[in-house]
Amino acid sequence: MARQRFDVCIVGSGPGGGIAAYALANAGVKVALVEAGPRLRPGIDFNAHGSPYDHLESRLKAGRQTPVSSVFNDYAERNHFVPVGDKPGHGFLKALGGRSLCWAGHSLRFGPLDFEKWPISYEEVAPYYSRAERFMAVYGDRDGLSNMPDGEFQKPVPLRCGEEVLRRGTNRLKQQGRKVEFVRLRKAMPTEQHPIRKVPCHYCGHCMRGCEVDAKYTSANTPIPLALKTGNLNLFLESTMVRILMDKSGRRVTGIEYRKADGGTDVVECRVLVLACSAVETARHLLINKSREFPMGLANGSGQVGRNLSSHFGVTVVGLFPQIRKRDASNDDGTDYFHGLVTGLYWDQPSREFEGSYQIQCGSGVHPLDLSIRDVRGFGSNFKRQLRDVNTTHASLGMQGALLTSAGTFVDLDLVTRDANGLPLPQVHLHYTDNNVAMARDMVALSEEIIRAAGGTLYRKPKAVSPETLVIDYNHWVGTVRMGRDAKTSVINTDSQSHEIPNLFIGDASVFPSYPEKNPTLTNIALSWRMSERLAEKLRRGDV
Amino acid sequence: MNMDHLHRRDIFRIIGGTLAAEALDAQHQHPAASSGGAPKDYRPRFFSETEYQAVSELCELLIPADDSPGARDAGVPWYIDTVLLYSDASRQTNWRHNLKAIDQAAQTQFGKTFVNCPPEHRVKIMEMLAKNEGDPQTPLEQFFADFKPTTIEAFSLSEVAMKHYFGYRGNTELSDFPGCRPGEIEG
Repeated sequence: MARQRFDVCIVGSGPGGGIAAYALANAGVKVALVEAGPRLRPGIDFNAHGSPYDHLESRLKAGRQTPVSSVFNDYAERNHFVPVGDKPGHGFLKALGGRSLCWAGHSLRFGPLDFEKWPISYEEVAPYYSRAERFMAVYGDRDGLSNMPDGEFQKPVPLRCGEEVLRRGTNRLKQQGRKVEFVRLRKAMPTEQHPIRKVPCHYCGHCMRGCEVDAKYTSANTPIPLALKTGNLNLFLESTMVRILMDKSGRRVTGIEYRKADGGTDVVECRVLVLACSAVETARHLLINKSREFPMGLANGSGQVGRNLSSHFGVTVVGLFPQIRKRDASNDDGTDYFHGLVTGLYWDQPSREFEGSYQIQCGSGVHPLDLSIRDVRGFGSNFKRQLRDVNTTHASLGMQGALLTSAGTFVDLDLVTRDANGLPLPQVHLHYTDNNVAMARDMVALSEEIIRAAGGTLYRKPKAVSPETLVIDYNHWVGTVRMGRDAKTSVINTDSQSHEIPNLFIGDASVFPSYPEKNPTLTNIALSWRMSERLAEKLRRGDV
Repeated sequence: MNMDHLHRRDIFRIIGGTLAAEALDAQHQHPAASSGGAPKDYRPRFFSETEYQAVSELCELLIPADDSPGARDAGVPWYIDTVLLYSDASRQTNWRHNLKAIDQAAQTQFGKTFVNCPPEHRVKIMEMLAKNEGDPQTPLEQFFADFKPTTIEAFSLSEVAMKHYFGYRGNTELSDFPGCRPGEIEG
């Protein structure tokens, strides 16, 4: 069994692990980055361009499930877990860059109010937000909103006509005194020249299928190549962590054992271990690695590992707007589907019906590769015309709210099912409360008001909002290794360092102590960058 | 991967990598990818010739050629035959079985196989399939719930439908995204 020694071993190369590798390698730290998946080649291993008819047969032959290339559909390990009581479909994208390969790039800062339940303030994270936005090439408007602060933006991407009518409708409600804002979305893809991100976005709309020209920010195209350039980073691809190794005291990590593609196992020894495997997987690995010192799982004296799980959930409402029918739909692509955002809801005036806030992502346009509306009844010429008409004139409102954490939302281990390495799979427990249902009902009512104010008609909404109609976002998991000052109620301290194991750090979104309505990735990257700087300083001082 | 495509991407790499400023002045459109359609004179590989005729006719009834191209023009029958060729055995059996059942229904009602029925009788058969859409009851109604989305997918993914029906250019490299232009919203 081969052993290699590094200062820091990072497990997971998604948004958090990628930026940690970059920040640490640049600080002169010798880093091993361990990734379970292979390197996927943009444009070759995923490529949604060209005629779907040209690719159909080769894709079917290769056993692909969808006619158009999609990095998540093609490469994710599906059904790694199915949340208890939920539908299948959840997966992990095991590849260099992780799920940064299939994200849509939404980059929204959490605001001062969102940090109120955190042990660190917005002001402490703000410099890292700025740095991350510059590094990633985030575009957006300076909107001057109180709880979604402006950042360092490249020029924004315009709204399509469908989102523009929703903007006008929302602004009419605002003029009538509603606390609501409509802004253009902020995303991580270059719209102007950029010193690092050389390939400009060409607005083809395939962001989540995987950006074949590598314009969209991913861990695989920016931080990891730059870290490799320093000579301080070693990549371990197709290497799956199977065990966390501890010293005799049982209270210090000495390295990890990992399974290679050929089936053998090797060891990476390290002074410090950074886990950045995602909120579900990081918790799973801590829970798997029980010991005499940590009978409830590694670093889990508090019993909080796996608890406080949250993700985003929502419902969708669609309106039809005949006034946009005659536009030139020749290019409705843009940067993925959503270009607009309804936000500013219940920030400083909480609802009396529910706790928390939500946002509404707004998208529109004819996208024949992925028709938004297929449920048109009938057949023949009428059906055919209607199919085009509803897809041309639709605009949709997609809710995103955070699942309220409760005793019923957590990750533990599946006692029955094991993975290829004989390790228990994670078991994810979701529990929708009345709060979630009340929030979704509010969203449906507001969306209907916006559609009316915009001069449209309602096309589709959930028949009745109930826990069964809520849809969980299977890429936005957070909260299972929460940050806090008190070792009794949290797992890591404000430096993202385990309270109990001083050389164990966490670099993914599992550290979030609470979750607002905003997308997690930018904050994950900012926090991981902050963690890495602090860790580099501790290593310099010999203080870890 | 065809040469045409490789060439296109290489050009874009060069533009993206070193000539970003120039690229911002020009619009780059992906040329139509090779044929972008079904092979000419295609002979079915999964369906028999008779089944293929029936499938083609069903597709055309769903999405007819009228003042714009229909399912046949778009290559939908080829698409479905190809998809079925790679589908699992139960779906294959299901399609074969239901095509036979459609013929039997046509025989019972009109004394002819489905493709030999006159247009108005074929429409009647289609109405029978589509009767309880959204809440299919009979096996044939359940078949329609697989047939219809497959046909919609096949049609919408075709070059013919994208460009000549939906008016969408798609998959296009733009130096700037125009968004909603003045005057495009009526009223």
